[in-house]
Amino acid sequence: MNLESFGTSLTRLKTMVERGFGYLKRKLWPFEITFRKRSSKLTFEQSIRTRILALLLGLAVVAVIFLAYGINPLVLYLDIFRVAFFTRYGIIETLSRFIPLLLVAIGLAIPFRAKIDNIGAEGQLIVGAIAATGVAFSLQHLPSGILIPIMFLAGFAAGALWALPIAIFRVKSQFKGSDVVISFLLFFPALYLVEYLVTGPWQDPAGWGFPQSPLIPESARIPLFPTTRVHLTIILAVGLTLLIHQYLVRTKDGITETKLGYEINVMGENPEAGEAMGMSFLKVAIITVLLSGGLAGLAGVSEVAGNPNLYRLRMEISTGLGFTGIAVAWLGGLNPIGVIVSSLFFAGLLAGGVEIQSAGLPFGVVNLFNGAILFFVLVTEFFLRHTAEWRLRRDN
Amino acid sequence: MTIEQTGSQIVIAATFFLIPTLGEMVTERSGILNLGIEGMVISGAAGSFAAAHITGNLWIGAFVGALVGGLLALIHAIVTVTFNRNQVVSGISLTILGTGLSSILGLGLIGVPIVPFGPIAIPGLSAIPIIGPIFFDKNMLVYFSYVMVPALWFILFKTRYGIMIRSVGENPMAAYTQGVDVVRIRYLSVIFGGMMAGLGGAYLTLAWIPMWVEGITTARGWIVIALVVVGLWHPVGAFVGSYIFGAFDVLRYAFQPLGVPTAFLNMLPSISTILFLVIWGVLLNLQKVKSIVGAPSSLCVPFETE
Repeated sequence: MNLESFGTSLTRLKTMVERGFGYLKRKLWPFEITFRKRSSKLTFEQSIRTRILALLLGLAVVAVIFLAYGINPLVLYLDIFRVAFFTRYGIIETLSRFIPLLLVAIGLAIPFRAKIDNIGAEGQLIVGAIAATGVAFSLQHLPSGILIPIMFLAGFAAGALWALPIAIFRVKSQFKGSDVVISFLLFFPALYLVEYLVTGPWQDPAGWGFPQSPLIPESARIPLFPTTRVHLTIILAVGLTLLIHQYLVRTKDGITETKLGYEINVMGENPEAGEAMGMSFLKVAIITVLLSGGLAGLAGVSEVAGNPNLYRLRMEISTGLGFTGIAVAWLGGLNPIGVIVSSLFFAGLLAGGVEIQSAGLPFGVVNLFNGAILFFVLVTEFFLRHTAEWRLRRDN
Repeated sequence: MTIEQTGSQIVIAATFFLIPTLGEMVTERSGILNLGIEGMVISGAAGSFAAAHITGNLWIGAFVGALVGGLLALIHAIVTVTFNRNQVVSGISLTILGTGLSSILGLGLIGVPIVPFGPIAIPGLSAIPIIGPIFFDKNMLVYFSYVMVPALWFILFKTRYGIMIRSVGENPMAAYTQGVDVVRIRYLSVIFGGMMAGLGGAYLTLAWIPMWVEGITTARGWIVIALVVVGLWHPVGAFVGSYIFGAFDVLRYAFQPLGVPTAFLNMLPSISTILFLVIWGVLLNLQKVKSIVGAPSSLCVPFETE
């Protein structure tokens, strides 16, 4: 067989394979879909409807996986819902998850609006917790009224500082995604810093060698609502969320009212136009990222100084709230009021998640909900802005 | 520890970085950024381990790993190519989804033993002193990674498909007007990247660390995304970068006798990645450097024909 005939038979083989694929495609997928852009903008009602649709689709997809593992998803979902919102234990647990989750998610929503992807909130939360613990021990002679505010300030500053590289990389770096990678990678130094502190210099001398710091002094603990385990940070969290709504998001006649809020929106929608109008992307990036990291840091403070299960620094300070917060922010439509609602939903999911474990599944399964809902938020938004036309293929 | 043992460990660690990095490189060359590597790697690791445990056949396990990775990548392709949605957010969702999927795929497999891929010495080459035992007395997946480096170089730079992939990543509109099916090329590249990521996961649980625990990757998948940049979107660069990071992974334990706390040693891979990105970030800002590296110009830019 000479080289030429070998070449011809190769080409023939290739055509045969391509024809086979073409045949399969026609039989299995006999449609032609075309997408058209819609002219009108999203109305408020439509965007709520999409979010609910995304949520239901996400729950439905996860339900299929549960079915495959022989678990009745309806029973499980109702159980999670019942435990999270209709039992005394569950409501308190839901609210106690709601506080740090809201702080993280509202913080993430701000840079997300400017298309700056901070996915390292977990690391920022941890350094906030470290700062709060450090302040609590070194200034423990101060009265509560002074000590706790200093702890919050220190936590905010530490979280903001940890997030700062993201802004610089987002604006100055020549390759896409490096800011996202860096924001994530900064989680590890933070986590191992906690490990070092609680097994080394800050280890509880009376703790039988457990990797944890001593309990923080009474004066550093955030007061609880009487007879519950819910701490007052909930007022701070909701208050900050409303402030952010007031100063960064609130619109009048479709245009954001404050200058900074407007700049954030423009940088998210069309950075070239923004730069041409004399806005500085670097400035917007730094402000949004500092706020974002700072709020995640506050969440860390609230865990150390407010959560009665902790009141100390431990490796378990990192429970993945920083990652759940990403899904919370997007499900909430990056809108503060929406984020409050979606935080409550995800907090309930985390609190009712004990039911997932009692159904015999690992707790990590909660991530399936986060991921699936996030995907459907992305896809359903597409169908609000586009119409799809399905046609049978003509050549069939 | 002898030089052969250290070298062997570096090769074994580096292969885990190399396989997904080669896949992600092809994905990014076609203009799509897939930040979901970590999710695909860990799902591939769990899925391949489950399949190998059930069937008792390691090759079926490796195939299932690639399949799981490819299917997850297909979701990313649908969301980012067909629906033109934000590639960064879609990649993050893929990571979260894959992490959740891995815990359900690995259900009941914690602590289950498995017989991993054994080393096969290549006759002749393995007899070379030092180099032989380090490079040519390894398992089949390591040899696969060696073969993929020149193979991908050939495909990307010497064949029609390679030119199509690169032109789609550089300027999809120009490629489209030349008659290239942009959507199809991007779908294939993303799925190829996912399959390689899933195979990397299979390598982890079927060859390197033959067991399953939740979070077994310890988030090494994220380093892969940095490695594509470090390797300048070139197969040979990816090879060099993977071996440098494999060496980091192994050599950090050399500092232990010096009294450095383990917590700081564990920070080394992530901190060195960040430093690499900083150095590369500064270098790539120089116009002269930028013109010679292969960064795809249309990375992360959505493509719409209307």
